[in-house]
Amino acid sequence: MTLNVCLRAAGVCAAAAAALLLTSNPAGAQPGGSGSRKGQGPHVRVELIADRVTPGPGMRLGLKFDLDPEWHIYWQNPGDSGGPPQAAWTFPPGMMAAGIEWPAPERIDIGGLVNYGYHDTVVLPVAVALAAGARIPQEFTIGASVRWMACASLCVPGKADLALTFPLNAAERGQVDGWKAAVDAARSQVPKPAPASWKASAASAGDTFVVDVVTGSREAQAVFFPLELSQVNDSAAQSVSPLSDGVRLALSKSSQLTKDPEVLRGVLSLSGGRAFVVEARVRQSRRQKTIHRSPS
Amino acid sequence: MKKTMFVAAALAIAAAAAPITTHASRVGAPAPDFKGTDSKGQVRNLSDFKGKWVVLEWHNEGCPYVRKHYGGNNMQKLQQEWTAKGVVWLTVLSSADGQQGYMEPAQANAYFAQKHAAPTAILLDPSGEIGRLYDAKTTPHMFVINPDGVLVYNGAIDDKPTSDQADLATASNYVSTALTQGMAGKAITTATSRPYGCGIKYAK
Repeated sequence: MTLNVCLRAAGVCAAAAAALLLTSNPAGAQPGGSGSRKGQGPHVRVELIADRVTPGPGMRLGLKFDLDPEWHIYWQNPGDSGGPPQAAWTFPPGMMAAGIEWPAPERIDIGGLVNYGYHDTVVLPVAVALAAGARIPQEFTIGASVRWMACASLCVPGKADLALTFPLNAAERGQVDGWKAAVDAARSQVPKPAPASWKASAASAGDTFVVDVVTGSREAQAVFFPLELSQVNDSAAQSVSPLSDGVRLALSKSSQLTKDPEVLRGVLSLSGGRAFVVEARVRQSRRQKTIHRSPS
Repeated sequence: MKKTMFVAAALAIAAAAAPITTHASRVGAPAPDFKGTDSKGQVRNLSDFKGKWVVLEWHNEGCPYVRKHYGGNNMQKLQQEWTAKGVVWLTVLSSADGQQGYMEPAQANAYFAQKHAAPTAILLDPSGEIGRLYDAKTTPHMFVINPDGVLVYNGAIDDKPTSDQADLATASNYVSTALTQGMAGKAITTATSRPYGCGIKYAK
């Protein structure tokens, strides 16, 4: 099933099996390659950008998607339908992609089914890892073979073979400040690990998980985006009740769930664009509780 | 949603052991009976097929994920293989009138004939009644029901959640595995998986 890769230090989790192909293919790296930095498919334009002129440690690339109005692409867990974009990378020896850093998604209701994804413009940052002692060549090309599914009420797959060649040309160098701002803005929306002081727990009761997240202050808004597939019924409304020191969410279980998991893992999006990865240990509900529901 | 309205009640009655209970399309539970009309105008009830293995396949001809399986002749081969072994294969169209995947009976018959598809019947469900009864989410979303009428598989068609035909060659087919294991009296190793595909275009 799904292989989940969590880079805790970076606060990055990726459903690797479904989400992305990480390949480093030195043999395929062609300095001065002829691929284009931009590509497109129906309703989607995509480009490969970088956050600096001179490659080095900490470098990020970005896959920037521009979508027609009403169209969306997907987060690492796509929700009820669809699938996340995938990228197969080509690098010179010693360089590789360390994975997509997924910004917190939106909940997108399509005729009663719910997808997790992105509208309008989204940049997916990709960290570049350098092998110890790797020498970065003077001239090289990074290639990204990108595939995606875009949906509005209909779905259309797309693909593009993108390439970014270093050194950047003059026009590209003029754009790097803008690219860096876009990559940094996307990274600021990547969920962070929940602070150590937070406490998250989940009570299993019948068809529902009741998740309490104690953050230390009242949280008026919250949306839970499951990081594991088939734990939560994506299309069910999430009932959110602020607590004096956090928030409670009632989440319907997925009909594909046959046994309670030990842990519910997901991204909790709160007001003000805050998003955190939470892990709530699941316990069987043992006492009566009253749920105060807020209008949804 | 109905389920969340019962949260308080469900918690109140939840005892020390709280099994997963009331979902209509839970594996291990009786598959919900339905009454539908097929593309030949015949009324089909699930209960008509008691004593037989039944496969439900949700379909939308315009969906890239469905096209992967029909363009690659994968779904047709499965239909031929399993109906030859006595399995009842019901292809269900739950797209609403005016939505992608909706078909009139004559159109459905012509289309599936042209695709050399071999389901037992094509159920036309534009009201979405059968789809919602099973909580079907995607095309293709697959269900397997055993001869006792118990749901034994609910999920994806295979383990490659893409729209790329090239992935068929390396995919492990959950429906075939469930039928093979179930008909041999063995436990079904993968009884659920996340269904993948396009969201079903239900009536609003």
